[in-house]
Amino acid sequence: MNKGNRMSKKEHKSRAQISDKLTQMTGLAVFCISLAIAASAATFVVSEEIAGYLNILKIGLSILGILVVLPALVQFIKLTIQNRGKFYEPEGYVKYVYERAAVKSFSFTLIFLVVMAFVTRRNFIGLPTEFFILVILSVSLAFFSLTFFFLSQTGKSDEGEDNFEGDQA
Amino acid sequence: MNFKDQALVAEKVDKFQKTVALGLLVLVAAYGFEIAQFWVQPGTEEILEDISFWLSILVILIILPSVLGIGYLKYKYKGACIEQEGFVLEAVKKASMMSFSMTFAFMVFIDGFLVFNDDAELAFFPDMPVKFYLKSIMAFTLIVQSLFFFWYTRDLSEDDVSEEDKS
Repeated sequence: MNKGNRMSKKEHKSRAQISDKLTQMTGLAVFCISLAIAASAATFVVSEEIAGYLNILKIGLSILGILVVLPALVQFIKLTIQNRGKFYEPEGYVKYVYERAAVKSFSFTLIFLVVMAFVTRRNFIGLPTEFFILVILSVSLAFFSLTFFFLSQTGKSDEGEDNFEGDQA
Repeated sequence: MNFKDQALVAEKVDKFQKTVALGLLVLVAAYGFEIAQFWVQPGTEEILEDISFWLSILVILIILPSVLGIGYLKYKYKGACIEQEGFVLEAVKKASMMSFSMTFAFMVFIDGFLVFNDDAELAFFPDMPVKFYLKSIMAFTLIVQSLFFFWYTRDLSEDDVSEEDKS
């Protein structure tokens, strides 16, 4: 029975680790996408030659975003399918971090929209609407991904401290 | 702070959140009138601007008493922890989360939509300024947030009623 308990604890830990990794990788992937959108926005203000390079960079960043999240996502889906029907909690943590980051990003995006509406009220910059939409998308996504990343890091460091205290005891 | 005071504070905090949601809904209406200015005849623009202005004043009148009330409570129970965790706050968080996700999708949609503006025949709103799109996104964000908030809190009150009925 003891052996069985140890086995389930080990299995549980590996699931939690994959879930943790997926959380961080998602944050990183979203950050890559936000950079790709920023590159897309920048094409409006640079020369045609540089815009060509930026378009290549945009595609590269989008692929990087997918590559960053894919391994952890595949592992996570594989584990979820393997453990179908069992009570499965770790995704609750991912959801919790996502919720907190999204709530903070909602407030930030709203404030940023108000600022942008003020900046563009006379449209003195003379840039197309698409540029401003891309800037807002990029900035709010970057804010979301960084919040997501730091919140998941905070959780990890708390866990580390607990382990340390446990070791001391 | 005794139990009765705590209940009073919790009730006031919940009421504050609901009032803010109502204020946001009125603000959406104000933005709606501002957006409508881009479509109407030159003469009616000013009327819509006036309506939008008075609606903004109404938002302040709706929210201000609650803000002052909460401020007074915080002053009265200085040092005591005013409990911010509750069902209503949870509804605010869930509604904000939904609003963020949907706003993101909406902005991607608008971005895709703007591609048609390059072609004069396909363009839907060819001469609309940036302000029109930004106000539309702001109105969308706020309407989604406030409607989801009312939806979640409506569910809660229904649950309460059904539990009372059962007992």
